[in-house]
Amino acid sequence: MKQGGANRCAARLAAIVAVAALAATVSATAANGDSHNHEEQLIYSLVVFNGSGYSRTFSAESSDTIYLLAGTDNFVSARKTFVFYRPSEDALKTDTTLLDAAVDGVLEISRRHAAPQPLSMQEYTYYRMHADGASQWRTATGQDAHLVYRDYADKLRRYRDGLDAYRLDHATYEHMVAELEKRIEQRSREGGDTARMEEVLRGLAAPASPEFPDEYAAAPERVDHAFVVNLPAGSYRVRLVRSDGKVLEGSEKKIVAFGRFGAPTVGYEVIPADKWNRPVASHSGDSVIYVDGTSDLYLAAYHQHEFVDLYYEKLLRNDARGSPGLRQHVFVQEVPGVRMAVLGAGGPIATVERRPYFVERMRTTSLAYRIVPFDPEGAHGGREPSLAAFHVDLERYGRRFRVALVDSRGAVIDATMRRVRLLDVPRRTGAPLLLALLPLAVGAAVAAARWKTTSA
Amino acid sequence: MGRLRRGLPGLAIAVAAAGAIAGLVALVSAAPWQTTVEFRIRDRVTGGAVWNATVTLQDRFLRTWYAGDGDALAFARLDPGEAVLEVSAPGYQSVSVPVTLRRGRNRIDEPIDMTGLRIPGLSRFMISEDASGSELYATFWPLTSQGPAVVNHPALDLWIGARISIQAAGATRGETLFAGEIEWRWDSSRKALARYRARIPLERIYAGEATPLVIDYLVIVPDPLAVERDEVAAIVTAAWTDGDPASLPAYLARYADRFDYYVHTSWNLQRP
Repeated sequence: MKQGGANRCAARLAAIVAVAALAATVSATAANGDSHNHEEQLIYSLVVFNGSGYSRTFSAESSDTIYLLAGTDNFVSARKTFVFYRPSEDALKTDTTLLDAAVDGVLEISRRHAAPQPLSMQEYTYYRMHADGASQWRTATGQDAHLVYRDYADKLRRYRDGLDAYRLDHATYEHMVAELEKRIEQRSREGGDTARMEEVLRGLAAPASPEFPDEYAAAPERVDHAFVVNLPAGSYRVRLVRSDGKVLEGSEKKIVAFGRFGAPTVGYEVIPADKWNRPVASHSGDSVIYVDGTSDLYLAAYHQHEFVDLYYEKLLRNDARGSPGLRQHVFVQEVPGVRMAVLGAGGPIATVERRPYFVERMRTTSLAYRIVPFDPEGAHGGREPSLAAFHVDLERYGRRFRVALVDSRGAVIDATMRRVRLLDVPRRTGAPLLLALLPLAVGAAVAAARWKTTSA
Repeated sequence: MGRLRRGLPGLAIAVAAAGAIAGLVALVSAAPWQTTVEFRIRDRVTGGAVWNATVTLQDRFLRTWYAGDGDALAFARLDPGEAVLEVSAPGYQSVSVPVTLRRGRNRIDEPIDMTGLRIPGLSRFMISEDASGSELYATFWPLTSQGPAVVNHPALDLWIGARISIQAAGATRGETLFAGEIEWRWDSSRKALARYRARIPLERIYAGEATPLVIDYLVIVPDPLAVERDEVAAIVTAAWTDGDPASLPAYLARYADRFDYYVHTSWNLQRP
């Protein structure tokens, strides 16, 4: 019996040790997973226009197709670097710390039955000006790229120099004001005439802080080298060719340049106040926005484009997955210069302006934040608004109404109308609790009846 | 029944045709359409990576930076026939390998050895010592005339000598405790900032008192096309071990067509 107990103990101990060893192995493998599978690969480094801005991805050796938005400037370079798979993100990554070498040559892009179009590497930068539309980016190449970057850098340097000077001037100004006030007070206590000094004090002008150079909505990137690829929609072959005509092994791939479906439409980001960090989207005019009415609603209106899901996903991340049969709406930029009309059965009820809002944290357990109008001069000074949207006060407009964007003349903009429905949320009652107590009550009644019978 | 008999030959022909097509498809899909070749390159001394190599074959080329003995390289989309695979890299002797390419997959079994000729831009060696436990190690940094260390370079079969002396007063060399060749190891890790590393043989020095040491180093960088490793050892070992240090430069200068040499002295070294 004792022998059997000892055996069981030993078996348990062995099992524990085995599990611990397995866990240690698994954790060690997971920890080292990223560093052990680094592989030197020829990649195409891709800085691609995604409809609203530029994003970076790369085409690994295992990928045979590059996806680009048709009619836009994209920056492509062939490089050797280390590529590894990161399981936690289910994605391929590059490690450029040890190796990031561009392979020189000419990029040949050819379409069926057409001669190859050779492209040489160029210096480039890309940027966006406030004067342009929110999705209109500019590209500068060659010497122009340096001029643009230098212009921005000079403006930034002048601003910083001005800021340094302003801080000094402001400190001097405050010191002078404090000194004058002290002297006025002292002279006043002594019964002397302070009029002259007060006049000087009033004449002291506070130094003006320099204006941030805001011509650039997106600052120019540091000048880099790449092939600037801008293709009409279609399918192409690409390869890198050296000056002696030899083709770089592994550089032959397909390029799919794709466009959007139809004209841009308007979509909404639907932000319930109690789930502001989990907004949903309303893309089509026939969709209904359902809300439970327990919190306010914020709507942000965007111009949106419609793309093939597979193409767009692979544009953003070349090793991503997508569906060729699905379409994806992509918000491109906020719709500028519009207001939102709230429409009831009888016509317009109210007009709402787009305003900035700030999400404030609250010290409560039920709702940890609240959305309040952004106050840059007061409580939110020096901070950025959390969101800019149309605030729809659900208590004011009834259970069914519509919203639409209107232009400066008050005319409803096509395909911007959405129906809003407030759902009936069942009220909490005690009925389920009473139902649960019913068997207990029946049991108590039966027990009471039996006791009565027994005692009789 | 008669209709069935009449239909049978047609059915048989259809089945036979389908079978033939299926067989043809299977044959075609199994046949290797592309002509490819797989090969490996390696540094002749270490068997490790050949930094910044360019390989050309027919109308194609490839670039590799860290590929060593274990990493297979490959060309695809080749034309069958006779061809020459050419490998070149900075500091290495270029290699041409004639290959006969058959249609389909080809493989060069033996790794292509690349002989390092020089460390590109080498101007001098800086040598630093570091203690690890009770051991003392020396790291050899090849520097260019502009200053920066050359991190990735061919592995040349260096001859490294050390003369360890007690450091006497007034920064002078006292008694010589050891003079001879020291063995180096090649650090092939990708992140290594210096590749040559040698262990100082402290066990060959009597315990002595805890006085600072001074180590004189002699690094011989041979021209592998002009001299063999054994020949270098025969020329240098005796002169370094037993010869007069003052006459060494003149002696080594006689072999300037076979190797370059660099000297370095480290002062104030404490035994770990």
